[in-house]
Order: sequence, then structure tokens, then C-alpha cells
Amino acid sequence: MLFSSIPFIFYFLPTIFIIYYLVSFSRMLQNIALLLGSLLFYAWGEPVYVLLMVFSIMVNSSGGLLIQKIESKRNRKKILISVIFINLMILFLFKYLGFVIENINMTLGTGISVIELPLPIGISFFTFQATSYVVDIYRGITKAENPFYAGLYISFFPQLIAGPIVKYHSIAEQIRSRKSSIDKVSVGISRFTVGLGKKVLLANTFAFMADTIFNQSVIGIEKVAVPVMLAWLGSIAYTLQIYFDFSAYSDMAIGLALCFGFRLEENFNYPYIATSVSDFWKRWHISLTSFFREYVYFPLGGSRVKNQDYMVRNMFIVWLLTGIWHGANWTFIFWGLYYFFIQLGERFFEFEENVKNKFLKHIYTLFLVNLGWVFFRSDSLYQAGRYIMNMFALNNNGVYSDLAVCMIRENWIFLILGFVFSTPIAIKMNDILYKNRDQSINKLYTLAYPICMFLLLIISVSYLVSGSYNPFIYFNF
Amino acid sequence: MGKYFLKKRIFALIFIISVFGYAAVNAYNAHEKLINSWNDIENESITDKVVAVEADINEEIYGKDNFIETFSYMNKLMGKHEINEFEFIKDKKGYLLYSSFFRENTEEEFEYALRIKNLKYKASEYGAETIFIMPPDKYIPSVTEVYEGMPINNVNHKTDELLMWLYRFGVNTIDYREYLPNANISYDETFYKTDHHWTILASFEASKILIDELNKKFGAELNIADESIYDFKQFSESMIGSISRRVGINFSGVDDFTAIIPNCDNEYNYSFINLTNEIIVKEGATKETIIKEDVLDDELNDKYDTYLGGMHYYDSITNLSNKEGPTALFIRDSYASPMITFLAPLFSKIDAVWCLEDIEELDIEVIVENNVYDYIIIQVYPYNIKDEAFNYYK
Repeated sequence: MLFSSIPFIFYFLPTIFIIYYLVSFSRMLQNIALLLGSLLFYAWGEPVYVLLMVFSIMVNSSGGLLIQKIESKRNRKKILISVIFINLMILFLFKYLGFVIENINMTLGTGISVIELPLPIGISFFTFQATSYVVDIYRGITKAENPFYAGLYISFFPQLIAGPIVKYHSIAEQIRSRKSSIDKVSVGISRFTVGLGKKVLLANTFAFMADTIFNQSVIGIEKVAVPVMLAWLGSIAYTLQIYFDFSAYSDMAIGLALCFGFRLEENFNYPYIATSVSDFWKRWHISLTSFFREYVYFPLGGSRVKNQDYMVRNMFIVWLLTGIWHGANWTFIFWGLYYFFIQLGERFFEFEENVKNKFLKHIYTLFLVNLGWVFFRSDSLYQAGRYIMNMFALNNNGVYSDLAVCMIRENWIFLILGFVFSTPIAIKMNDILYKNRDQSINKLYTLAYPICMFLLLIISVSYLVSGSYNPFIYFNF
Repeated sequence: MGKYFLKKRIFALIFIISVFGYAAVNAYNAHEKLINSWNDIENESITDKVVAVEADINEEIYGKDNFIETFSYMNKLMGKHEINEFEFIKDKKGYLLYSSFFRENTEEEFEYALRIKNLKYKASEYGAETIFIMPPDKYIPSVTEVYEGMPINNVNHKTDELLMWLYRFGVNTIDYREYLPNANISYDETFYKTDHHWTILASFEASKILIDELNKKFGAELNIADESIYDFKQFSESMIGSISRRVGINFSGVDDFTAIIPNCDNEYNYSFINLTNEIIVKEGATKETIIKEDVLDDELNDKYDTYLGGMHYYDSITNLSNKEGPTALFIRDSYASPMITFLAPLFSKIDAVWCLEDIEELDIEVIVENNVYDYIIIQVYPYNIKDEAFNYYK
């Protein structure tokens, strides 16, 4: 089920919300209601795979209990490795097996048949969370929970299909004892509505532009030339799409979690105002980078190693894994390594310190990030290469495109909103208005806010009801 | 800090009252349909059931038109000339047209023409003459002006290809692009802004042209020229076409509508299979059978449904007042509904099959071979040139 859908907004959300607060006399019942709701939420899209989810919950929950119970460090480690192995095997089987066989066949000329298993939605998210659960128990940071609570952590619907990836130790306490309040619900509902608006009005508009233009550059297996203007518009539209889509999902997830008393960590911090690629990755998909930092990079030694070669190795592993995590395709692997090399370069040349011009830094970062998204969006490295050639007029292509002009003319409002809301201008405006000492402005803002938000809600729903373009881009994850 | 939460509290209250309240009304309104659609799908997987129920949830939205109008208004407010991610585009005169980012290929037109030729030869064995008629597309390159870069869906090349093959195969055709619009009927009188069909006026003109062709080519001796047997009624700003219903009238505007109603005293026996597979039989005067005049009473609606009461899988009209007239079979889409109504007084019997129907009971080959027709009239409008529309003599 998608957050930005009629079944979710008008059926699932009111039902789970009402049930949750009806059983507010018992935390246990509230958690069970959320767990069952989460399983239903997951089953709505792909009923069969809810069994996979239940299996994952059972394995990790029992693993966690065993790790906690057994005293021998060696045996605890064995169980930890076994559970992590099972988690990774599930991920491998459903997500990477086809890709690996395909490449073996291509390289060795073998004819191993590929079993095409549909990818369970959000498998990378819930597998990572499940892994975090057993690792945190093994490290002794947190205690094992009963299967219902462990299940709730792994399958909690707000962050189930598109994150943020919640580390177990950051939420363990909240599962047992959290406080709901009117203010939490109010902030949560507001955050959800903002996310809904970002997704439906902005991300979907940019998605249509990006999809149309990327599709124009491919006809069947042929990669065709598109004009420079159109190629740039496509890449910029995708840059905006992926930010507004992903951050909108995170907004909705954080907002919904707040409605049920949970506080999730922020996942985005205006990544497109970053002044370097390393800075970009401190602001983009924060929960994933933080997961890899905590569960891969630090255990490998991180940056505090005597020999810098190890630091390079550690970075390489993390970025290779980051690429692989995003999807079973060479484009994602290339995309991960692309960031490895850029960040390595930035470290060696001490980019942040040596380059003083902030404008130049912004341009440099946006340029490289935008180029990176072309690899991420393309179906193959070949398409990405040809697309980038289009962007730089190296593909026997023209410059001017009347379709690009048309798309900009028809969507200029959304494009401007996209550029504006990629910066923290809304937060700054909010601060200025909220801290304004002039009481009348303050009152006006307090009155205007709910009206504007309600309009945003109505407009977003009207777009959904009208059946406007509403793609779901996390199938690869 | 108090004000920070106050504004969010106010909004949360509005959200809960409006969304939860609306959800209750909506669920109450749709629950029977949803339960039925869950139960109706037998022997299907749970996934299929979920997909069916989700489709119904999206369809059965309480006050859907109001949401569509809000969406429509937003698009108008932003001064857009396309709507719903280029599903439709608006030309400089406000006509809504189909869009396409890719030019469709014309490889299949030969095959479709071959099927029509096969039908013609088979029909001729049973004494029927066949004619293929092609209504004009709303997009006329020399007339229509669109804003720069608009990805117009120009299917004229498909039409040309199909008509060229039909010409080579010796099938009689009428390419209405040659006749409409013309000096008597302007572009504005030929097409609606908000609908994909030709106007009733254009359809009436097309009927006269068809009769002329039948007379000239097959010696039919039919006469539709006497306009006194038709009433012309004007309805200002009262027509909302199919595109308008999809995108909302705030964006599309509304059309004027001219209804042409046969006023002769003919009696008909009219039976049809509607789109829910029910067989309906009617008998009586024109306005009790083939004309649904009450459609014209509404201030704002799709008045095209006046003719035959809308689209059906199959229609059979027997003119009880003209038993000596010729008989005809229309293999057609919705463009032909007004034509059939105009021609009904001249024929003793007209049967019509929707060319896109996909129900087992209706096999065009069986209908052609088991009935006696003088004329078989195949009508397909340019955007329906696709495999499903030529589902015979493959």
C-alpha cells in the first residue's frame, strides 16, 4: 500500500489510528494493533510475501532471544553470524540471484536458467532493520524483545517500504515506553500532509518529466539522440524527483510514526545545498549512511586506522555495498563506486578546506550529483553513457528542444517550487514568522497555516482522485 | 512555543474531522460495491482480489466530481495547456486533443485492411455491399494551432495507410476528411471542444454523404435530403463531453449542443445488449426507442447519449413503418450512434455491433453469415485503428 493512495488515506490510516487510540489503556495491545496493521499494510501489495516478513520476524526474534540467553561469547557469535547469514541469503535470493546468474551466463557462456522472483517491496529496508536488531542485542546495547515487539520493530508500517532505516537501539526504548501527546499527533499529521503534498504535487510532476525524457532516449534496445536541452531537463527533473519522492516518503513516515508516539530520525537535510559530495552524503538518506557507518565502516576500522590504505579499503567496501543495496544492476554498483572515487578525491585534495568559493562548491556538488543520478536512473551503463553524451552534445544531437520548452512552460510553477523547497527557505520563513514580535503577523500566520495546509491536503487528494501520474520508485530497494 | 503547536493543533483537528469524517461517509457509500467486488472474483488469487478492490476504492470515491473539478481548477489557475501529464492538450482555440510522445507505427494497417477485404468478399457472397467510412480526426494539421512543443497525437498517417490499402483491395471507402469541415460546416461546428466525437451536425452531414455514396455506388435510391423530418434544437453551454468528464469543466469549459431529432411517425422495435450484458427491448415511436430525449433535459451533461441512449455492445433496430427499406449492418464505434439514428427511418432494419466488443456471444463473422443485409458499413474513428477493432476474418 502506498501512503499517497486513496486506500491508505481514507481506509487504512483512519482505521489504524482509531483502533490504536481505542486500546490506549494497554501498550501491549497498541503494539499488537500496530503489528497486525503493519502486516496488513504489507500484505495489501503482495499478500504472499507477508509470509517472508513473518519468517524474517521469527528468525530474528528467536535469534535475538538466543543471543541474549546464551552466555558463551563464541556461541553467541555463531548465532549472530547464522541469523545475519539467513537475512543476507533472503536478500540475495530475492534481489541478487537473478542478476548474479545473468552475469555468470554472460561471462561464461553458460545457460543456467534464471528464476524470476518478484522482488518483495522494501526487502532491503526490513532486512537491514532485522540485522540491526540482532547486532544491537549481540553488542549488549539493547535487550531482546518478545516476538510481537521485535515484529513491530521490523515491520512498522510507516518506514517499512521506503525507510528511514531505523537502528534498533534508537527505537528499542520507544517500543516499550513512549508517550503519545496531542502535540506529537499534531506535528505528525502536519508532517504527513507536507510529505503527501511533496510527493503528489512535486515529485510526481518531476517523475513524469524525467520518465518521458529518459524514455525518449531509448526506443527498444536502441539508444537514440535527444537534444541537449531535453537531456539536461530530464536529468534535472530526475534530480528533483528522487529528492522530493524520497524525502516526501520520509516526511510521511516520520509524521505517521509521530502520530503513534514514535520519534524516528531525520533522513534528509536539504542535500542539494551541500558544498561538497561528502557533505551531500551527510545530508542524503542519512539513515542508510549512518547504518553503514555503524555496522560496516566502524567495525572495519573506519578512518582511524594507522595505515591509510585500510581507510581507502573501508570506504571502498561501504560504497560498493551502498551501490549494491540500491539495486541489482551494474548502474547502481557504478553509482556507488562513482561516489567512492569522488569522496576519496575530496579527502586527498582536502576539497572542503582548499576551495573557498561557496558558489563554486555548490555548482561542483550539484553537477556531480546530477550526473550521478543519470547512472542511477538509467537501465544500463550503456544508456547512461549515451545519455550523458546527449547532455554534452556528443551524440550528434541538436541543442534546442521545443519539447523541453513546452515542459518548462507547462510546469514552471512546479520547477520553481522544486528549486525553492530544495533549500531550507520554508524553515527559515517559518522561524522568521514564528519569532516575529509583531503580534498581528504572528496571529495571521497561526491562522493562515491550517488553512494553507488544508488546501494542500485537498489539492493533493484531488490529484490522486484524478488519477494523475503516481509512480512508486522503490521497487528496486 | 505555544503558537508553534497551536497552528499545528488547529490543522490536526481539521485533518482528523475532515479526513476521518469523509472516510466514514466514503466507506459507507462504497461498502456494498467493495464487498461485492471481493466476493465476485471467484477462483482468483488474493492478489487479484486486492487489485480489484483497490480499483473499486479508487473509482467509488464519494463526491469524485468535486475532486476532479478542484484538480481541473488548479490546472486552469496555473495557465496550463495540458492536463494530467499530457493526457490531453489544449490547442490555441481551446479544443482538447490527444497527445503522444511517440509516433505510432503503421505496420498493422495492411493486416486490418486485409480483414476488411475478406469481410467484403464474404458479405458479397450473401448479397451485401460493404463500405468503410472514416470520420475525421479533430486534429487537422492545416487548421489546428497548438502551443510550441506540444506532443500532439497525429494519427493521420495511420488513417492514410489504412485507406490506401483498402483502396488497393477494392473496398469502397469514404474518407470524411475530404468532406468535413467544409464551406457549410465550419471546424467549430464539426467538433466539440470537450469531446472526442464529431458534432451531431457533422454526423448528420456525414449521413447525407453516406446516403449519396450508397445511391451512387450501389443504386440504393435513399433520400435523407428532406430536413423537415428532423427537428433542430439548440442548447447553449450545456454539453460536457467525454474528455471534459475526465479532466473537469473548469479546465475544459463546456460546449454548445445542437440536437437533431427525427420527427417522423415511425414505429420501431429496438433491442440492444448494454455494457452490463443485459438485453433490453423497446417498441414504439422514435422518442420512445432510438432517441432518449430526457438526456436533453439536464442543464449540463453528455448529450451525445441522446442517440441510442449511449454505447451498447449490440443494437438491432427494426423499422416497423418501413418494411420495404433496405437492411444494414454497422460494425462501428460510438461515432456512428447519431448516424444510425438518422438513417433508421430510411432502412427497414439496422443492426450494429460495437467493433471493440469482446463478448463471446457476438461473433461478427457469424452475424454477417447468418443475416441478410443489403449493406455492411464499417466505421472506425482514427484513434480506434487497432487490432481489437478488426476482430474478424483474420
